[in-house]
Amino acid sequence: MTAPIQAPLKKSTARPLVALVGNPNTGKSTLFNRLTGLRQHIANYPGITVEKKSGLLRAGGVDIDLLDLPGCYSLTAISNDERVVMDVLGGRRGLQKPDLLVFVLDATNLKRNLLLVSQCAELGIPALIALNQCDAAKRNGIRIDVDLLSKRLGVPVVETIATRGSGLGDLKEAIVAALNAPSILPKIEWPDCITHGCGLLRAGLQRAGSGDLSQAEALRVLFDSESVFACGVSDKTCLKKLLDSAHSEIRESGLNPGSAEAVIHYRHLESLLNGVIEASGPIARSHDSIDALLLNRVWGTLIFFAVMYVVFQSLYSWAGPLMDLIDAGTSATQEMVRPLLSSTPALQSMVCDGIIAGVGGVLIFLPQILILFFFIALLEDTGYMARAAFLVDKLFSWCGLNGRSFVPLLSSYACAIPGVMATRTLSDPKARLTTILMAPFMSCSARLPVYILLIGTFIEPLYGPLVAGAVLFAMHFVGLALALPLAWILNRFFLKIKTQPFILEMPDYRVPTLRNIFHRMWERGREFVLRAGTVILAFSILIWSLLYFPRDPGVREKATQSFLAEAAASHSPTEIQTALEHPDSEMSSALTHRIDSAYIEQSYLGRFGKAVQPVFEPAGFDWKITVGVLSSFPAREVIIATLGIIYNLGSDVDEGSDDLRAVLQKEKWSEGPHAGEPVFTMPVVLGIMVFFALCMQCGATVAIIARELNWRWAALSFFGMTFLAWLSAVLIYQIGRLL
Amino acid sequence: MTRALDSLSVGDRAEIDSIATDCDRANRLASLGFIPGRMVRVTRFAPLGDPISVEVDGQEISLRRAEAKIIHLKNISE
Repeated sequence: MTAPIQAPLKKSTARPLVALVGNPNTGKSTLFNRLTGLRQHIANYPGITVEKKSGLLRAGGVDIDLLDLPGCYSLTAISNDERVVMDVLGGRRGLQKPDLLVFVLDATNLKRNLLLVSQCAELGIPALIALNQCDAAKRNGIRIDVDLLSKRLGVPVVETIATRGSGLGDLKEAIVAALNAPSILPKIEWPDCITHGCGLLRAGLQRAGSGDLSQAEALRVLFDSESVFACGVSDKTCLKKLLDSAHSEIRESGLNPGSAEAVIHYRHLESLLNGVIEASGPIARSHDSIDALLLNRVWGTLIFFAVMYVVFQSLYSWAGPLMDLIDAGTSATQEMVRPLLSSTPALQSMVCDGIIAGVGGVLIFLPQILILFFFIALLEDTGYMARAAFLVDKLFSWCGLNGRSFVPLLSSYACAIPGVMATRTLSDPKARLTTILMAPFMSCSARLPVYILLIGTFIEPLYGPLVAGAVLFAMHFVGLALALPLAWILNRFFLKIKTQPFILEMPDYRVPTLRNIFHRMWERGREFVLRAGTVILAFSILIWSLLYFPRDPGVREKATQSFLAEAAASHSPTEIQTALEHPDSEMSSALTHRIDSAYIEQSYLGRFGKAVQPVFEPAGFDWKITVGVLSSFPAREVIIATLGIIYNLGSDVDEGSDDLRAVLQKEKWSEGPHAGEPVFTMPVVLGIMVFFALCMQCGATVAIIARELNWRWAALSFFGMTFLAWLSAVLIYQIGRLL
Repeated sequence: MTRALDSLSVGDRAEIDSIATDCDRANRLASLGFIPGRMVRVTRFAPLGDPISVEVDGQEISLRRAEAKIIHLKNISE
């Protein structure tokens, strides 16, 4: 009765933690989804943009926390994914060390998959093997003696087919059994040069008083000087000296320190697998004949562009009806709520124009996000994504991006939000960062109305439809033409992150499962709404308040008086009175538009626009354009409606509106050095279009970049693009004036 | 005489002799199965000539020429 009470108590309340570990493309995530269903939680690991997926697994009456670790080929911390795996397995940085590792192995490529298992053996964590894709292995003529494998590895081995959900029951049972009676993997026997090097490292660091590494930790540092365990060593010069002498010893025994670990493990695995794998004849790989077509220089390229065309079209066009539906739903909700709050105009405007518009502004992105992730899941699950990256890698490698940047950048032509989210498929953090920063430069569909309005108003009447079409086409390349060299400069001179080798495994082609695809869509959609959506909503409310307040009642009075004075010139007082008594009359709506315009001019944002107009003076923008530009920072598509309000036409105008076009053509400077001259000269028009092409006028994109990277990068991207846009507009205007 | 993997043509086979010491990349390549003694075969080039795709230990891996350059080969059969 003297046993410590605390320990068992603590044990019974904390759920056991089980981690899924394995190479990429093993079906690990599918297995995770199968085991946890929708009881999942997605977050980021602290301080790093690697996804942490955890979920609840109920097996045999036990609640277990299941962690889906990022796929990795080895414990060498080259990528952030691998670093996180090592952090978790080492129980570092406040992360809980798993009680059990479930290795998910691809049965069609067992030897390579076992390398990670063999490396992890050193850590002494209880383990269990899920031998996945057994069906594909059988089809490829590979027979695996599971019992013998289990005997040799010293841990249970369960056969599973994650895509069909078979073997799940056995796996759950095995997990519970392994938690009760854990078994660990036997460590391999290292050659003398390695054990000696390890000892040298440990003793040397201890003597220098700069770190106390365990045997397993010292091994990792020996093979990987950038290992997370090396970061804990305080004296780096001492470590480097010790490593140099340990490495030269390894070299003397005829091994390359860079590849020694893998070489030794593979040697061990080859004897371990002797008699376990039986391949009937040469391994028949299903993808050879398909690859002959899909990776063919001519046909492969054509098919690639056809596939990407379908992806783009569906984002650009097919998402339209759904987005219109969400738009209509937002307006309907606004109109439904508006009368209910008519007694409190400020609250009415905040709820309708701030909150409801903001929620609508978040949901409007969902169709494109869901459609894009449908295609990404489809392309990845079939195995085509790796081929696509292979085909176009050369187009991007020169500027620090890689073949996997294509889909995110292409999607950004529809919308940067799904585009930035799609960069999750890039495992190289440097390429991913660069791709994210380049994505908002792609000319998204929200820029189109601006181009159409200005080209239709100023270029088409002068130069005809042919030139107008060419200018519209060219506008779509302005961003790209600037983004790629910028990426090159960024990579060449500024990014101090190490470039990762672009080495891709060409996975076997597989039939995707709808279940998996829908899971991906649901996961991404939910994440967007919950995480980025809240920030976008907050932005929307902030901008609404800047456009609404201070709302001085004197503004309305003054606008009304000046309107009545003007009207009195051409109408009799009775005419005016009758017209104003009917809220639908032309004159009433003209008055409303005049008041709205006056309120915008007097709002905080309007005043700010007037105050900063001198900044835009060198680009030839008057205060109206400036306010229009500023008010479209949260979302560039609002520019048309804002211009409508500013030019007294009301917000109900679109890019094809004849009234708006006529007003723009007639607009003249009312004061200043250009008084009397038209505002919209050709250099100004081109300047505005280029400004919109380059400027980060999208709060949602800022929010999603902050979510995917951090606020520092989001701020850099925002200010950098804004400056670039301003500079280009100024250059165009100034050069245009000289010509 | 040894040659690097990036000098091979499509269809050529060879045995891996060594990986030029470059810890990070050597490590990654070795983990994926590029270890001395194994056979590699170049299966194809990308349409723009880079990256290249090779078969090693029953799996197909694509890598850029910059990485292929550090894989040294012997017993080349063209």
